[in-house]
Amino acid sequence: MPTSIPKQELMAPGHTACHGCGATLAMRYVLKALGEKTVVSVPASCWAVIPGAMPFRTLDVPMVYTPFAATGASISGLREGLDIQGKTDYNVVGFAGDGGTADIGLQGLSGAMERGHNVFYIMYDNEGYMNTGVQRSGSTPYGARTTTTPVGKERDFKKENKKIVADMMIAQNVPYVATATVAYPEDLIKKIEHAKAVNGPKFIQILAPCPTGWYYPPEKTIEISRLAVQSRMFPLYEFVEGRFYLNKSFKPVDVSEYVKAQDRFKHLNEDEIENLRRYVEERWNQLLEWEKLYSSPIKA
Amino acid sequence: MTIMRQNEVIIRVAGAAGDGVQSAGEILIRTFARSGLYATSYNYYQDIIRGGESWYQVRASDVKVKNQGDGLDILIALNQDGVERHTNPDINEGGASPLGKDGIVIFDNSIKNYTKRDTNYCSMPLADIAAKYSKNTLLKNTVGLGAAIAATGIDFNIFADVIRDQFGKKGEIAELNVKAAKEGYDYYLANFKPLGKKFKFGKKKYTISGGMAVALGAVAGGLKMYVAYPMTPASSALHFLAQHAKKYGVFVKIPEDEISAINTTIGANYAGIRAMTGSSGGGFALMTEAVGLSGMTEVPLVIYEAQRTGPSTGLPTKTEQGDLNQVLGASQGDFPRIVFAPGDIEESFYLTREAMNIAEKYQTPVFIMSDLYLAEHYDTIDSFDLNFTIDHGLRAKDNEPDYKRYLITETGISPRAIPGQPGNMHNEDSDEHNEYGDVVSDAVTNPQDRIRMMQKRMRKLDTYIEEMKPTPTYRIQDADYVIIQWGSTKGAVEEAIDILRSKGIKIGAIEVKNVFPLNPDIGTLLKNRKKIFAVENNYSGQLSKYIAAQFLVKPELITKYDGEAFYPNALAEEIEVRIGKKNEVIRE
Repeated sequence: MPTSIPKQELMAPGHTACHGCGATLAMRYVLKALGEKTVVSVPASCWAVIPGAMPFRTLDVPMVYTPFAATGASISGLREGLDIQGKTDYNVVGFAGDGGTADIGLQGLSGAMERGHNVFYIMYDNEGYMNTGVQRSGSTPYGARTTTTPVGKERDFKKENKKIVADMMIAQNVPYVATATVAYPEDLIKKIEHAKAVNGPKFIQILAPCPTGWYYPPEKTIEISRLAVQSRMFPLYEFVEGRFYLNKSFKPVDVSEYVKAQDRFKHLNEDEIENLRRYVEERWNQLLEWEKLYSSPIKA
Repeated sequence: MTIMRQNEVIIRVAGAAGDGVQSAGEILIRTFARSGLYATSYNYYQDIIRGGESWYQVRASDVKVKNQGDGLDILIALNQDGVERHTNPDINEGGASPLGKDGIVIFDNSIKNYTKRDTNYCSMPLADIAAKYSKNTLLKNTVGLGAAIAATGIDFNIFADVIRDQFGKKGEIAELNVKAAKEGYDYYLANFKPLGKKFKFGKKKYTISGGMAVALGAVAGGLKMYVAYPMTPASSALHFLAQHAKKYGVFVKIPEDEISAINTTIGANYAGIRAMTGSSGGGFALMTEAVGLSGMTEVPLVIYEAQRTGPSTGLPTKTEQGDLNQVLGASQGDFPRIVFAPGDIEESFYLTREAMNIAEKYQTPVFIMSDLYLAEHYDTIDSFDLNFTIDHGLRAKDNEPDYKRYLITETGISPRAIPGQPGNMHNEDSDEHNEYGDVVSDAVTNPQDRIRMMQKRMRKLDTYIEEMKPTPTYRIQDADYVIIQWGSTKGAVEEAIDILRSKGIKIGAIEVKNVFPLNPDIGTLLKNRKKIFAVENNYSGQLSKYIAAQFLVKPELITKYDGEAFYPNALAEEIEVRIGKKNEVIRE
């Protein structure tokens, strides 16, 4: 079967990520979909380290680093700076982790999306601060163990729910919002292409499993990425110009299959897994409602 | 020239990131501590998740060791690069000594193609021994450690206990490790000679990192809340407190950014508990505005600032003392701030504890300035003196008639009322205010209030200077030459002084722990010297410039800004050259 994934590689070997890193796959697919006329802005995150250490450089597109809180601001300036020179055909991409997006960067993200710059904001979501030693982020799901929600004698695993930035972007009525994950590259690339067709800000949250911080064997990244969707822990959806589409074309599995594949959830007992199961169910029902709710664009 | 002492051993474990270098190093320092030796360590690593060269050095002796040390006795090389790099005198690892002719290198016998140099090669079947016990390739590190322990002459049983502790509940795995280590230990003794070290073992010691010492100092000083956003190298304190939050009764939270971290901390202090925040330079930059808020509203605040190599992201896993200008200049306007710079791990504990009292007593921001070297390396201690009284400072009584939150006093300190106390209604405003806390930011209506309030706040510094302890010194009596030192360079400076003194050079140091305000006694201490040196882990000599301006002296700068800490021999040599006792050594 021919694949819809472009052949062009804009990410060369030589990166310094961990084996089985989901975030590197995310970048690779995004660049395949966008092509070489792309500029990337990266804040402090795993991706600040991944592009390679001397003498290697893994990306074949220009990249600029920005302070942790500043991805939204950086891409706003980048876009307008290029446009002033007439370089409107370049794609401007902010590529930030969940810490840089859900936590410190949220204000800058919201501002950039509201001002309407023609930019892509890609949040690669590995559900924690993985570059600095696996600390919790706002995007870490309920139940996960991190170094700041440790499980030892005390069971201080994360008790709060995941802050879902894509949902917030829908609430803000951003022209294009989607969720994707690396187990479904065709879907991911299709979404980037849809986003490209929208002139304005677009936000895509890509679940990027992390063997180092989720504590699973590196070869399981794709499997876990797939389980996240099938267990409905990470539903795939698209929000285009006010319309919401939920992806239901998969065989559902129980949450426990997802949870048990990763040691970051190892300590959870049946009751706690049941909490997650209930959460997933309720959120799924909510998303089904959103399909009815968001059925036409609302604009002044 | 390095003189190896019989009662001292330096071991370096070298490999790639992800090879288990750090945990091997930590097992070593624990072993030395438990056998009753003093030890210290140095972690050389890179901002790379996997791969990249890293090493961990442990120095142990029966007398207190003050820094990572010059020289190298035992190298445990986990890959070929390790064998090659650390025996090569032409490679400069930020000043670390290569293995010399008396040293030994322990490595796996699968490593064959290396440049043969004048040292003792102990090729061993590390991987083969490990394979007998487990598929986990990291087990070969334990075999290597066993061999190194044999070379030092440390009791194997102590080492075995440390391994058992390290693997905790995983009893079976621990026993596998112990057996593998024993085989490494026996293999070494059957095939190679021990180093002939002779130690006088003392009492068992504790191992602790600088970040842990800051955390414990804060807890001992009544810490109830720690709010911080992760940033190397301040994170070691955060992780430690998160792990022990329940045990110490400390509320630990990681908010969305540093702006939130510092303002949550100020909120908690305003509410009347002792809260603290911490970060490194980049994160602290975001806290800047709130520092002045604490100064203006007179809400106590303790900030732990652990420096790393800047500017910007810099070298995120390397050390530097480059944030002093930032800390001294943080926030607009003049307001009193107090800055401590501990020189070692014990001072990290005591000064942080003291900072908790000082912040509440003077109702103003207090800083603990550490750096990556100090925060992340492990040291041994005998114990901490836990005798300490928490002083909440001047507090208002309930229902005070005509309560003035910002009462003008001679000391500058006003009685503090906290929310929930009956009566005493007031505002704590970031605008300029009068004694009641009412806003007078339109100074035209009352410039006198502004002037009096400014003077009142700044008077707190004069009051504090009066209670300051004398500036600590090191071998300064009769010294012709004096070094100005602050923070983590203390150990290297003291040892360099010992080296120079042994050559008849009369030299000493002043150790600036109170970085702001400076103790006026520094002026006297610097008087009538042939030359004043300033040793700083930064480019421009930030403290030195500021001391020069205040005391009208002209220190000669010795700086290091390659991301690594000072080494005593190199420092001593440099000073010898500067005072003309030695011809300049040509270096790259």
